[in-house]
Amino acid sequence: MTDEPLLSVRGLVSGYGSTRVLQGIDLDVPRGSVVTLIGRNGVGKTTTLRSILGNVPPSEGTITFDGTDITTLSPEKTAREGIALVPEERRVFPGLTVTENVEIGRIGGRRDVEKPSVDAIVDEFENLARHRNSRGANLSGGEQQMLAIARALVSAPDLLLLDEPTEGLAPAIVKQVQRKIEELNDDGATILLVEQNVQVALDAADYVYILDKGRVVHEGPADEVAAADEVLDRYLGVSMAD
Amino acid sequence: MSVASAVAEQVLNGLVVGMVYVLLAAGLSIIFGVMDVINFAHGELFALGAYFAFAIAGPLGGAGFWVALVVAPLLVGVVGMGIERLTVKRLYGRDPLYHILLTFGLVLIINDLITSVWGKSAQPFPVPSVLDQPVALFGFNYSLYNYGIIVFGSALALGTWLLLNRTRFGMIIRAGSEDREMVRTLGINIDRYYTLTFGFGAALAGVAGIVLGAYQNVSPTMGSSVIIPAFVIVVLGGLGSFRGAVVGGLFVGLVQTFARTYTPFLEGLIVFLLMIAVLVVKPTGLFGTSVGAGDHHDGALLHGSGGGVLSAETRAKLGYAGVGALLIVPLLAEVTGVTYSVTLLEDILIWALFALSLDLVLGYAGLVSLGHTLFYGVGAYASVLTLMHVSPSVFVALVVAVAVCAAIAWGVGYLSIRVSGVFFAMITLGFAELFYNAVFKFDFTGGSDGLFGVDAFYGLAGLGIDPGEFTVPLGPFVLDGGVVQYYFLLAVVVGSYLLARRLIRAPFGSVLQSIRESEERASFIGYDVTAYKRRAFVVSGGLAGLAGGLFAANNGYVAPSFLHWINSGEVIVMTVLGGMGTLYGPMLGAGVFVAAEDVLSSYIDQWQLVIGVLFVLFVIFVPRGLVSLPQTVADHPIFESAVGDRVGEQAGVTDPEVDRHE
Repeated sequence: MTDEPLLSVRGLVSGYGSTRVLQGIDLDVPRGSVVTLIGRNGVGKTTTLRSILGNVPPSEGTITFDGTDITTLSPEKTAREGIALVPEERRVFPGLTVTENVEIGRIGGRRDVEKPSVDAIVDEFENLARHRNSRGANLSGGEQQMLAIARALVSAPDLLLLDEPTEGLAPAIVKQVQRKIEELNDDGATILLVEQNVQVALDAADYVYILDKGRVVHEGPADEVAAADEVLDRYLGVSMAD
Repeated sequence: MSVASAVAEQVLNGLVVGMVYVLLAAGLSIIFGVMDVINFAHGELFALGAYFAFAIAGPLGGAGFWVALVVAPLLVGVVGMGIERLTVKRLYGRDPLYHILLTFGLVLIINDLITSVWGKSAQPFPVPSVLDQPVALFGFNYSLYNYGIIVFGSALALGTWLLLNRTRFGMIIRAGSEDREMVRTLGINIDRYYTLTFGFGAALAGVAGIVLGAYQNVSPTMGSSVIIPAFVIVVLGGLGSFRGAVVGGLFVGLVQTFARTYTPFLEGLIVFLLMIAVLVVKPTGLFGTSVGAGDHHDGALLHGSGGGVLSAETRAKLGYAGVGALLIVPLLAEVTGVTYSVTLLEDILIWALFALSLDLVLGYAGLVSLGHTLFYGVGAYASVLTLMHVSPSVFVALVVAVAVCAAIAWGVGYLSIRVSGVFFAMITLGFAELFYNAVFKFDFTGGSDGLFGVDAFYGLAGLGIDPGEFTVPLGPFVLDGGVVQYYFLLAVVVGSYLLARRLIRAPFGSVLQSIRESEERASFIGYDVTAYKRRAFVVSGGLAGLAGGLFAANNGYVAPSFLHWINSGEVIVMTVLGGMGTLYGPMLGAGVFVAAEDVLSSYIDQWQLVIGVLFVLFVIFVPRGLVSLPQTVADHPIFESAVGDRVGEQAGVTDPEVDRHE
């Protein structure tokens, strides 16, 4: 282990066609930590994740992962380096069974690591273990979210990207997802989390970046950001005081 | 033979044909389900399988068939993978229409290669002697080979099902058909699987070709005769559904066989009637779901849009000059004695009108009418029948042709426009095939001969010109009735163009284009999207009918070939070649295509191959058509500095890159 952050993004500029969404993002994700990106809709949180993955090729800047420059890698190659995504809206394969969804995740990811078995991963999720042979389309939103996390975990990633994992879930399920993130972090996982729910984001995080209009406008340890009422109010329109 | 055993034999015959269909449709359906590619070349891969086997088995003698049965499909698979790598792959992300166009070009290429290697006539491909004998089962004799087909086909279908549902390969394929970007994000190189899938589908088609080749014979037309039924099966069963392909294939095989024996009149019709009936009741087909492939057609259609470095003014001048030149051609032809040029120009004008009609729906409403020759053919029949039975006046005949076609377009549009995209394409193709097969059945349409020897009178109520008796002495030359026909045709085509242009520049045209850009947004603004599309389709059908009616009236005959799907393919080729969404582009495309066909076919035997290759290159590299060439050239770095400023004024070319990332 080194002190170098696992993921390091410098001066990232990226967008779609001629539209620049990211105007130069710098961020670090140290090993074993949970880092969250928060911000209003459309400030570039998802685009940041997509650029890291290679779905949206950056036009400027560098992305370094575990000492390797991954700036220009395609999504499949980025995944092979050991970065797994739990995407927005979960995107489980609707026609594949729970087991198959996890199996296909196991085919991906790094080739040079030992991966947990499909059964072992499914067993970790109570509500998935009960539905091994159900198709993805027939699961509830919470179950699909767990399946998306399981599909990412089975590839034994070094870095887990979570994109809005609590979106559209009932409060009780949000709690479950929160607990899962904590568990993963306790086991030493490194997580970059994008989250709309500020409470969840601050609770889960070690370190927080606030994005606005494609730039990092504020950053700091989670407890400091949680206390910075004026910042939260200005960029997110919320207050943690009450 | 008892009734029971006669029925049993029909069932077996039906299953034999059905098995061939299953293998063919399964490959087609998998390729569509996984890659959104509508592979028109599938029939040619089928024929290629038969010919490869024929070539391998012949020299090897007795055991040759078995060697061929293994080797030929593998070869076809390799050809399929090559096709995917070199051509199909380049078009992923574009609208599925481009795959239809591309594979249509491939049909021409492969078919021409087959005829140049193995000749144009059908050849016997003997069944191995071991299988070439009857066996007595259930109390009657039936060919062992046919039993073999049923068993072998079932085993292969089962194997395919297992491959798709019980293997890692199949799992990735299924996942890819649902969400390819997610599969990539997991770290799986889906492109490699696409190539393998295409190869696998092609190999299945190859097997089907061998099986049928030995059941009947091998012939260069075997591909084009099965491709349409195969599409019907895929649509009937549900696009992308393997179960649909199996059930649909067997069902169509049985229905066809029984119809041939017990209701000969319905043979050739019943399958299309069934398809239409199923789609009217359940637009997604028997086992189709709306989940998956159909949902992420995010590629944009590429339109010609403007004339590159040519300003609107220059284009207008060129237009006038073109019409002016067309006006003096008959005189020049008379003077120089090259009268053939007039015939060729008449052909071009007819196709230009036909292509113009297609552009209204394809280029402006985004509707891929795959059976547009339906209107061309029906217009021709309506025109000839009117001339024969109602009035000798060409005006009456054309009015009837337009009216009948507009009415049919309304009916077809009513049934098909509520289902979008690929289904619309297939339903229009189904209707065209229905009419194609129907004209063979009736006496009043002249059966397979068509109707001949009709003379049109260019006037009304006795006032006008009879081309048969028309002569104008002009110095040493004599202008005959052909000139009247030519000028009449030219006037109608120019008039139709001006009408179409007026329509597109009116609010109606703007709404159509907004629908093409985004159906959802157009409907949010409050436009009845379906109604607008249907109206465009009616106008388009009427104009296509006019083109067919004109041809029939001018030439005095009509034949079933007017309704053959190849015409539908060719008119799409012309439209895209010229540049769709411009009206004049498709007309230009028609001119280039017909002239090229004419010139090439008189100098080289492999002209289809040349046209096919040119077309494939065009679809890949110049998808916006001929009218975009000046712009493409101007955008080239070498010329940019010279004409860059002019090009800047001509903004408005649809940029697919932007649309794709939305």
